[in-house]
Amino acid sequence: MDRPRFRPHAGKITVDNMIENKDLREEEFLINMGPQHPSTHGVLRLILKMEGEFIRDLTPYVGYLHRSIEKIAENRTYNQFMPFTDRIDYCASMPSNLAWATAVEKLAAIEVPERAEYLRVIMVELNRIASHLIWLGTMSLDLGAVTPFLYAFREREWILDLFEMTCGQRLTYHYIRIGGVARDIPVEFEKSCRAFIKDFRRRVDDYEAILTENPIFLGRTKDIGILPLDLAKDLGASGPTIRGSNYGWDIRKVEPYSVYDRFDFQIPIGANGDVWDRYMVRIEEFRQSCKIIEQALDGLPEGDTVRSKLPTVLRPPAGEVFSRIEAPRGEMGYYIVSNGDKKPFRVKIRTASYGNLQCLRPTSIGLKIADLVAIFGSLDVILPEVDR
Amino acid sequence: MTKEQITARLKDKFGPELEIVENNQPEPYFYISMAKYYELCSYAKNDPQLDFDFLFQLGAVHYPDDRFEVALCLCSHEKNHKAVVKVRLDHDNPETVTISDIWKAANWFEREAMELFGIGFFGHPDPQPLLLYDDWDYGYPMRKGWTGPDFVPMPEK
Amino acid sequence: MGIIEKVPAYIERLPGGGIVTTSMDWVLNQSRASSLWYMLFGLACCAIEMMAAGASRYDFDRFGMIFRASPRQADLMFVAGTVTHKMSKRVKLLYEQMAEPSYVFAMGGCACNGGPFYYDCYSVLKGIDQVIPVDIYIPGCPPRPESLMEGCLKLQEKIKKEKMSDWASDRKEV
Repeated sequence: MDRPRFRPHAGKITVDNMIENKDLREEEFLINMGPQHPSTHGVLRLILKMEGEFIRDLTPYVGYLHRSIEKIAENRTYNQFMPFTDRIDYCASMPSNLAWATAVEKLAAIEVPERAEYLRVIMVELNRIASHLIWLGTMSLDLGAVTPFLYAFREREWILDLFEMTCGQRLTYHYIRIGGVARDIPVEFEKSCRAFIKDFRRRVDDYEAILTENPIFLGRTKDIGILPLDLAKDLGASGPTIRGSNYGWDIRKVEPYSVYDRFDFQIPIGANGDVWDRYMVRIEEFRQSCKIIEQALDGLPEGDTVRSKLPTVLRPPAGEVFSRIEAPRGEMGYYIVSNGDKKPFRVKIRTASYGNLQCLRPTSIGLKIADLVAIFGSLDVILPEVDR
Repeated sequence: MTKEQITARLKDKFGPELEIVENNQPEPYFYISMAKYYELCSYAKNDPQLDFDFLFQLGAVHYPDDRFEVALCLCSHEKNHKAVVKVRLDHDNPETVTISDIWKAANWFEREAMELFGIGFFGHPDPQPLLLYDDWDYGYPMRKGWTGPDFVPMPEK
Repeated sequence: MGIIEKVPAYIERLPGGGIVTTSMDWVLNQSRASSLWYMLFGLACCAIEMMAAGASRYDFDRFGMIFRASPRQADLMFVAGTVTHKMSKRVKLLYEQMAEPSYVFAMGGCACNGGPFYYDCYSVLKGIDQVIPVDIYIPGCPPRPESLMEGCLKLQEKIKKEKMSDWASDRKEV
């Protein structure tokens, strides 16, 4: 067995190494942040080279949650792999399921019944709201505001009630299946969902009342962590991270999948690319998702087929496919290589946080460590997406 | 640009080095030879008509006893089109050049391919392990047929 | 710590000493069980359920449980989520940093024995009990907050059965 063919990890990054390489000046010191840290939203390790309170360099170390999901995919059938897609991004589990289902349906040219498409859109948008609520709660907790955390989780419990009513699970749903959805919604779902949307619009105004014009919040987020657009495109940022930098790129509009082309909604865009803009983009996305859900409930077609008839063991034709959708954090896509067998030959997963995390370093150099926490909260990175 | 237009433009520039994969996907799939790989990437990014400014992902595939492949999924923001470019690598000595100076996003994708498949990327600015732990000494796990300690394959039913 | 460890053994030998130690046991166990402070150590999906259990609807604060960020200030560690080999060294370090008495929950299938990542996985530690001693196992993927609360109540029952005379012998061998 050969040793990996790259130079050994120089890091053991120690102070002796850096002084020897003339890389650390006398007034600088190294701080290790993570992997267990309340603000790193998962297991991320950052080594910060600090000069007083200011950051001079930053290196992220990932891999603490590498669960070899791509290796697992080579040994499971297409249907058996679906629960693992839940665990790639557990805050937004429905869109992760949808990404896999869309990719396999594109490979095997499977038609999805219309009622199932509408149900998928409803579930994905509800999950977008739930994921942004987790983001809101944890980001405000990092900045010191504890109240929005409790409010956000209270709203989220209502959404989880709706999901539990439909598929029985609170977090990792496995509801969207290849060819449709697992089962039809119960009769109480529509009434509860409409009541939730009506109430939720008022709650979003509550969150804005606490945070948006708050001078402490503005002081911590305005003009902090400005991400220039060409850097964002080059590093692979997507989702609200790139929309905050004044660029209206959303896969639901530019390359509509499922039935998104039938709905009328806007894409919120930020002006400067700072933390406050990314926050406002997501707050506005709450309202747009509410709009989409209402339109989907109004236009839900009658019928009871929610899954197209497929063989028990799916064998797509040999070939490859590349597809992507808009998850709450950005673009999530799959590249699947199939050789006609019941198990995929190679699955390459590309998640939104992989590109968004690389934006952390250029935006936080020269700022203070407290600003790093705010920037990291605004990028909305989930580590299992990065590590898979 | 449509699939045919992208194909025609690249075929114009690269001629026999470019091989088109026939399938019924809406994006064009190409194989490029190793010698022109960097040039194609550079052309794809800088040409004003193609304008592939977004590297969506770079993945490696292992065909046992045959070859390795590196597949790039390229997207364009302004022109709103996609393409997939693949390059074949030798099985016993898979090496190619890095494209992280063309797209910065390729940096981490190539680090991952290096440690999981053992593909070498010449000129990579930071060839360190990304996902595996520091004392990893058991080979390249994503290759087909790999086994190692603590690896329990799913029993066949 | 040596003399204090031996004090309960001496008190028990006096006439009527048994009553003193059992009442002190009761007081100490009650106070310890009613104010377990847990360390924020969410790794993966179960972390969100742990956060939800501490939030508005399933409130942990009514059991006296508050989250603390530092292991030095906590006496309960929820290992919530998949533990990989890379992370297992750090989990052990964090466990050793928690002061005695400390308790560990293995929350979720992945921490109990590897969960859905048991087969075909080269980087996941199959069960956190391979590196640290676990008090309560909570199955589920992810377990509901109600299961988590039942686990906490079971831990409180377990704590109430502890005795001071156990201190003299090292009861937690790592």
